[in-house]
Amino acid sequence: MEDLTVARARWLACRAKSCCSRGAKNVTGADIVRIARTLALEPWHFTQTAPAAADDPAGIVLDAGRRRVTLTLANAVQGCVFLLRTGGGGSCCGLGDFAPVSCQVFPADPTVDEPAVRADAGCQCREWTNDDLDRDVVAESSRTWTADQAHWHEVVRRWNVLAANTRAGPPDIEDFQRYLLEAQAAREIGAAWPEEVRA
Amino acid sequence: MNGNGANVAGCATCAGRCCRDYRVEVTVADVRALAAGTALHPSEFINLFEHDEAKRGFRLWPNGPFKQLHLIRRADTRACTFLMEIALDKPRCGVYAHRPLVCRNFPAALKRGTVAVRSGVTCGPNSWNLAAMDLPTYRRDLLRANAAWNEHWKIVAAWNTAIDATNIEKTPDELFAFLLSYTPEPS
Repeated sequence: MEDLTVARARWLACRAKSCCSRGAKNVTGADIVRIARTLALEPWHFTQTAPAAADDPAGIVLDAGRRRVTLTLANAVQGCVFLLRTGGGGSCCGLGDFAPVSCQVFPADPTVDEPAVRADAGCQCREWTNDDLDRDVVAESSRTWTADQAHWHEVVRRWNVLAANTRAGPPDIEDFQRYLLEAQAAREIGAAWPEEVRA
Repeated sequence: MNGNGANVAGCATCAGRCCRDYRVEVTVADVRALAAGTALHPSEFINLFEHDEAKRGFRLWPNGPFKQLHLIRRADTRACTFLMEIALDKPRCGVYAHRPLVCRNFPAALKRGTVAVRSGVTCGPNSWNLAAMDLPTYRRDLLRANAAWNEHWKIVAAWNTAIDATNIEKTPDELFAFLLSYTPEPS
C-alpha cells in the first residue's frame, strides 16, 4: 500500500465526504486537463460554470462580454460528479491520485503560504488542526497548486483577450476548453502560447 | 483494459458495457487492493455470489454452498458499483488505479501461449485491434492474474478447512476479516 499521510488516511476513511458533497474548490486548468486525459473524456463532459465576480482572475468572458463565469468540476446529485457512493453508504473519490491538487491536500488550504487547515473544511465528525498536516507534503503540493493557478489565470486572461477580438462570432465555453487543452500541452513541452504559434 | 501513454483510461468511446453486462468475479488480492485503495470495507463492494454450477468457492458453513467474490452491481443500473456515470454515454471506472486484474486484462486472454482478444467480447466484434494494444503489459498482467488465482484457491482451501474443523457457521463479515488479514505460509 502507498505511504499515506495521517490526514490523507483519515480523509480516505471518512464515510461522509462532506468536502466532496459541496463540490471541488480551487480547481485549476492543469487539474482539468489531467482528468480529461486520464479518463479519456473531453473537459466539457465533466465541468460546469458558475457566475464569476467581476474581479475574479479566473473569470472567463462569454457571449461577447455579457457573461463572466468560472469553470469547475461538475456537480451531480451527491456532490462532486466524481464522488462514488456505494449502496451501503460508503464513499470514495473516483479520481484517486488524479484528483485536483486542492482536493489532494485536503484539509490543508493550498491558497496560503504556510501549511494550515482551511477555514471552511466543513467536516461534521472531525475538527482538523494544523498538527494533522504533513507540512512538507502540503508545502510541495501548495507550490504545485500556486504555479498551476498562476498559469490558469494567464490562460483565462489570454483567452479573454482573444475572445474580445475574434471575428468568428462569440466563442463559447467549449471553445475556451479547447484553448485550455492547447495551452496546457504547450506549457508542458515549453512551447509558445497557441496564439503565438506561426507556420 | 490496459491503456498506455498519458491516456490510461483507454477508449474515448467506451460505453462501459463490460461493466454492465458481466458479473465480475475477483480474487482475494483484488479485494485487498480495492479495500486498501478506497478505504471501503469489502461488504461495500463485494457480493458473495452463489452459483449452482460452482465447483469451488468459500463456504460459510460445513458442506454449505460455494460462494464466489463478485463486485456488487447497482440495483438501478445493473452496473458495477464502481462505475461512475460522468455524462450521457460517458461512464468511467472510479477505481481505475486499483481495478481488479480481470478488468485490467479485458479484453485479452492467453490463447495457445499468445495474447489474444477474447471471443465474443461485449463491445462487439472488431472493437479491438490487437496490433494497437500494449501487448507486453497485457502478457505481464495475464500472468499476474494466473498467479493471483492460484493464491486465491489456496486461501479458499485454508478458509474451508477451518470451517469444516470448527463446525460453526460464519458470517460474510468474518470471511471478509479473514481475507484482509490472512497471511499465507511461506512456501
